[in-house]
Amino acid sequence: MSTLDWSVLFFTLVSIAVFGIYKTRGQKSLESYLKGNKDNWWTIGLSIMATQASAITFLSTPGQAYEDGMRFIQFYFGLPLAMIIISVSFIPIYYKLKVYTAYEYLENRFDLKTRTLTSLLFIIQRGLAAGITIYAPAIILSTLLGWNLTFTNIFIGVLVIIYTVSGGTTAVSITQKQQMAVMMGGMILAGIIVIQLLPISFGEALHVAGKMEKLNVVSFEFDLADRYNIWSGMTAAVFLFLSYFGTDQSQVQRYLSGQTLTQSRMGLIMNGFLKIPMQFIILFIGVMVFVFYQYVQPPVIFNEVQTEQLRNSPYASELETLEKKYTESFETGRAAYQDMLAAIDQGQDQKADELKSKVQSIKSEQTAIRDEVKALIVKNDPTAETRDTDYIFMRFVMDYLPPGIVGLLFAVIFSAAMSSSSSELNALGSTTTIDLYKRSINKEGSDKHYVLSSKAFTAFWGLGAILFATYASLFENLIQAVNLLGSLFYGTILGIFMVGFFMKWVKGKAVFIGALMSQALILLVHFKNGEGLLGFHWDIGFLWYNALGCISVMIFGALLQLVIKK
Amino acid sequence: MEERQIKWSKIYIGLMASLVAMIGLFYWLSVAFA
Repeated sequence: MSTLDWSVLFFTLVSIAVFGIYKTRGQKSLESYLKGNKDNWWTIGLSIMATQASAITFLSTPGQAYEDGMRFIQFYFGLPLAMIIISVSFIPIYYKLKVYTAYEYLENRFDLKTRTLTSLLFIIQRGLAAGITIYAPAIILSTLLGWNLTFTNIFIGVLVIIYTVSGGTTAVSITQKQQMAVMMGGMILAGIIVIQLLPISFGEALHVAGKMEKLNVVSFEFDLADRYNIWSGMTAAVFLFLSYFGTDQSQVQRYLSGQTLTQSRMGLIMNGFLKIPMQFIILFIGVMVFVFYQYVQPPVIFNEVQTEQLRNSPYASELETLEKKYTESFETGRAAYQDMLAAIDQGQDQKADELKSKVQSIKSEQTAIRDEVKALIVKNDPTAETRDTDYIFMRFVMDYLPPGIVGLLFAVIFSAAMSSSSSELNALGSTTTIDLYKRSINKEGSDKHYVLSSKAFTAFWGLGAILFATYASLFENLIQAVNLLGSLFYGTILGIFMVGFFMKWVKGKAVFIGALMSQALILLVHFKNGEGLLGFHWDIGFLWYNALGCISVMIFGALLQLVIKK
Repeated sequence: MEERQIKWSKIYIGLMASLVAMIGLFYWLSVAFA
């Protein structure tokens, strides 16, 4: 990267953090520290979007579109409906009870043990996830920038801890506004540049993408094991979004910072309107990068550190042979694309389809060559991770975007990591203070004491996240387990809230036992997924666990209440 | 902006209508360039 890029990157990140600290100096009361300074609707909307947009959103999503097309967007089709349900049912209750955390509502509606159980589930899940929020992008950014991984973890983590601890919820929302501007500005600029860099017209690029099935956005095929079709997007995903936006404190805290109930609702609805277009833009950029690389030869493997290592290994000559084969295949493919476009221009549909088959077989040939190179990488280093999807977009940025913009795009990724991380730490600090410490350990402290406690807990979770991120590479299985944890708990947590909101006759004892039974059911379904039990067979995607967990808590709760009554 | 001044039902219908429009656009994109 050039000096200009480094300057843009550091200036953007540091100035946002300093601005956040400066604007929130002198936060004194617990209310202003945890609930913010009465934000307007668009600040809330941006804050909600920035919380959800993690660095992985910007690293992985374009790569996913490059490989698999745009069908991932269907996952978000359930989001608008979830926003409406939360706006109608959840937010008015939180406002009426003037809660700091979502889990406070549960004691009011049920009892202390239900509140404590739910807040503990949140703390375990989000506490571990906070480490991954830092680690997952750090491993890719450290490779691309040539930084030490531990330094990258500390750089992201410490910057976030400083402004989140210092200014609380207000600092989070103020910085998220700037970060969101950087993210959207950077991505739109990248989109415009990639289209300008295309050696063919935009219309022709759409034809190439369409013929290669990258624009197949909507799939009407119903498959329980596949989360990217319109049916699972419109049903199972609704439960996930209800749980995430309605009961996860890292999101609830964003809209509880609103000036009024109306401002909070409007912020959430803004997210409903903008989330799908935003994802569309990110995916579409990935598709345009795909088209670009059909005319300009891409690296065989996008993680160039690995190809460099191979070049300096005993497998160098084998790599050279494979690279030559790849170049030949690429040239043949490029010519075939030109022929295909000419056939489309002349309206020769049959010929265009024949050429499409030819291009597809060339692509299979290229995939086979890539697989051979990946096999060499593993031979050379058996611990190497050969999946390079997450490197596609930033490799393109580093190789083809002008100086200054490259730094801005790195700032996009860092900003995304910091914005989601700050919401997580802010929520963890609040929940630990309000639902555990203030409620069950020290009930008589002063306002000032609880502000200090919140700051200490936020810093504690931040340092924990850095520590986890630093040692995460030693526990690959743990990372998978943490990612899974969210899917396993979310349904049950949502179920408890749904019973609270919509089944007024079900009391605390019934819902508590019902939630434990539901959690046991989800664990059984998960560990026997693909195998089945007692003659029953099932194979369902993780997304459905949310629906199953929620509905089973409601059913178990209702049945248990009937039994308890008798 | 008071709560009672806002026609929430219209906003919610507008949100769902925009979803339907987007799905329609995506479907067109899938078909038109296939």
